[in-house]
Amino acid sequence: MASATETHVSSPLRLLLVWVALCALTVLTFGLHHVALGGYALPAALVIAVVKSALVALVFMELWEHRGANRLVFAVSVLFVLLLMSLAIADVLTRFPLATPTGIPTFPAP
Amino acid sequence: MSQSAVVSRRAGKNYLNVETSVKSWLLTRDHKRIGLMFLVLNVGALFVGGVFALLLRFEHLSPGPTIMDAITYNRLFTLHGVVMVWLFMIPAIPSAFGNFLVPLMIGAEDVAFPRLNLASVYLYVAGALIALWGMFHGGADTGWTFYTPYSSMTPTKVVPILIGVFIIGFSTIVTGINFIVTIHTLRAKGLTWMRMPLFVWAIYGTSIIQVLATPVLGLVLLLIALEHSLGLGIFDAARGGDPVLFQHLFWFYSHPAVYIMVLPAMGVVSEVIACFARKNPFGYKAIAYSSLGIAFVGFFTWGHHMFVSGQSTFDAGAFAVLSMLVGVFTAIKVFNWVATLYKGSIQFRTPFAYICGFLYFIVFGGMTGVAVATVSLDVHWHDTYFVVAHFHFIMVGATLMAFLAALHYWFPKMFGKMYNEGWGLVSAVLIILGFNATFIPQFWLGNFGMPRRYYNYPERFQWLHVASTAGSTLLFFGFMIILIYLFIALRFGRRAEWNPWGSRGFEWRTATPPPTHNFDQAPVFTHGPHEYHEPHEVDLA
Amino acid sequence: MPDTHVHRAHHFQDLGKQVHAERLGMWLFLGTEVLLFAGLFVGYSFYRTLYPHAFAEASHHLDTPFGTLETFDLITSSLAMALGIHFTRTGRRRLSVAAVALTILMGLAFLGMHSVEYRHEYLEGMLPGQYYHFAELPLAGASLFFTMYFLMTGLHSLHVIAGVGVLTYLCVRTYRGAYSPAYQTPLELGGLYWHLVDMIWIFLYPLLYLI
Repeated sequence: MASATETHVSSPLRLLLVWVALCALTVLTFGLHHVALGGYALPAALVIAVVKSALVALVFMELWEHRGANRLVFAVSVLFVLLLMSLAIADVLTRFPLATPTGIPTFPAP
Repeated sequence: MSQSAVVSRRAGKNYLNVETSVKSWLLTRDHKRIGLMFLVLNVGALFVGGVFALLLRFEHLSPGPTIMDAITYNRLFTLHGVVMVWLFMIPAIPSAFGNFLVPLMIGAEDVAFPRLNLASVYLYVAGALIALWGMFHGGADTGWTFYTPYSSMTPTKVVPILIGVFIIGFSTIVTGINFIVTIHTLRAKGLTWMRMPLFVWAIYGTSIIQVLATPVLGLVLLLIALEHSLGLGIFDAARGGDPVLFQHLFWFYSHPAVYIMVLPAMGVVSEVIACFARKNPFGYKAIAYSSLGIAFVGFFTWGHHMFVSGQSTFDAGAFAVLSMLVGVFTAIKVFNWVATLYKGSIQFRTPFAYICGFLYFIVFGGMTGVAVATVSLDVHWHDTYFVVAHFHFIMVGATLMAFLAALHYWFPKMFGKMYNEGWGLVSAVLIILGFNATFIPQFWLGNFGMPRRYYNYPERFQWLHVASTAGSTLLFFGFMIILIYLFIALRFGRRAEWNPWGSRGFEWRTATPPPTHNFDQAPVFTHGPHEYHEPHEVDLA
Repeated sequence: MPDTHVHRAHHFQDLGKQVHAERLGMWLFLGTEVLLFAGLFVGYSFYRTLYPHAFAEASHHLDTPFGTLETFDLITSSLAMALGIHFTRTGRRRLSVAAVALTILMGLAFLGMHSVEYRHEYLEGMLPGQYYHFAELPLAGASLFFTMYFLMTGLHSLHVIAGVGVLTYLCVRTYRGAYSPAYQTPLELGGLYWHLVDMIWIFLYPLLYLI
């Protein structure tokens, strides 16, 4: 691995291009909001948000150039958020309907 | 082992006497002094939490009121839990022994961020003072778990305690970040990951848990404080909220928290066994990797605290299976430790006596853990004394034994004095016997149906409660004896030899006690961590 | 040329190791921030699963144009921050100070815009918990939406305020010449924190405003 003091001098053009991409993606996600995507609206919005975050992390935060340990730290944090979320949501989705706060089934009956 | 790291044996300035002003202690950046300050604070917390426990046990000598009323009882078990969990168990081994030993073990001059390290002491003190203030001014009666909806409605003052614990959480996070960065960046030349002592692996795993889990606790405490004081209703069923969500968020931290407590203890066990069996740890890689295994898989199991709370049966089943999985890593360690003892040359000293207690307690505590992880059995045992006995077997029986082992093993290194071995063994026996007498009756109590956190109970349970209280008194005497002979050792004890145990741990290569800068020259590691090759290479002063 | 030894703390073997340690420490701290917000994201997901209709309805009452403007604002402030670090690395101190100052201004603008939003919500009665009295939307899920909205954006705004504070300090230090092409790690670390604040908003925006 390159010494940490040999800081990669990111060209301003690269930073500007990423900014343009981020703005474009913001316009996209705003635009999609007005299109009836049904069940795909949330996944679409999340995918766009993930792409935007990846751009910020890899280019603005220079994770692309940093050492593996930093990338591992970030990846693991995100993974653990997903872990907490998935089992908590699974709870709500699989409860006996009358045990949810609303009494409304959250999972379509087979 | 290293050739050039040995510091002159001449009695001279060490980290204790290099400067003795109060200011030099309060503003120190020396990881050894910081570790020592944590040790003193933690022992103080253990004493306070222990007194609360003793009061609870005396209350249970008879059904109904014995020495206090019901509200005081509720406050006391909350205090006992909060003090023991956050003021003692979580910081004890990492902040006291981790701070003292990790730089020594990896050949570094200090931790990566010494000023942050000092900040962690002050964060701990600030949080502890605020929490204690809250406890003595109307303190909480919710139990240390602050479950909603009661914690939102209770007339007692939960908010100061929540704030206090929130601040202590920062101390934990800072410690965790410091150790991870230290281990990544300050290992001396030649010290590859697979040459690190197993205690350092344990601290590394612990630090990962500290960094990942504690923020979730911070948030959930904040939410409870807001719920209590502002009526936000996030967990309030009347507003459409769900109390089980609180439990998901709370236990996502609090289950890994118990691994923050027990993982460093396991690191201590590896070190002490290697020394007193005069043998390399069997299965070094397995023990090292299982530390990481516990750190990660411990996060997958939180729902086993919620089997009867109303979470879905799907989740309950998933958590049950995952909880069985995490037991595998502890089993790996236990088998490797026992294999280390096999055909070793055992020196039965006080630290080793505690390790014997540890092995017995972790096996039985761990097996009862697997038992309560079985959903159908937990329906009967949840919120009874069975669970109380299970976790005390691990927390007191295993972790506290390891803490005492660490205290006795590294006492000469930290203070340059030796304690009386005879009294050491006597108190170890008293503590192990006292512990059994306190908590084995509680397994029976729980199985017969005695609920936890109950002030009153039917007459037919009394004999078991009395037995448990008798045991706790014995336990208390054991601790008092330790305090006395260790204090005497500090004041009047004979000067310790350089390496009184003949240990091959690298931390024994510095002077006893070490100088502030640890090593005269940067060490170079050429051997593995616990290699017992040539007898004459073992330095015995 | 500044002497690199001046920056190296004595317990690090070389400056490279120290910079790596500082960055790793910062990434670990950012990891803790991610886990801190995690609880709120989980609470949000939990309740959105239970009250999909109420959440969607409530979201329509948020000021989406403002939210979108705030998104552009933070993204641009991140660009300014990244440029600020770039200019220090290439020795252009004055440009660097200007860029970081611009970041701070945009952060303040974000807070200003968000205050306007909060005021509007306060006037309408779209408040958290027991203070909710928005007559148009009496559903229980709507009250929970606004509770989550205030908690998430509130915690985020607190982090923006902290970020503005940190960047102000770093801006002054940059102006005084504390950083150079040889060593500018503190500025970098402040930037990392700011970018994380931006990243959190990147997720908050679609989840709160664009349901």
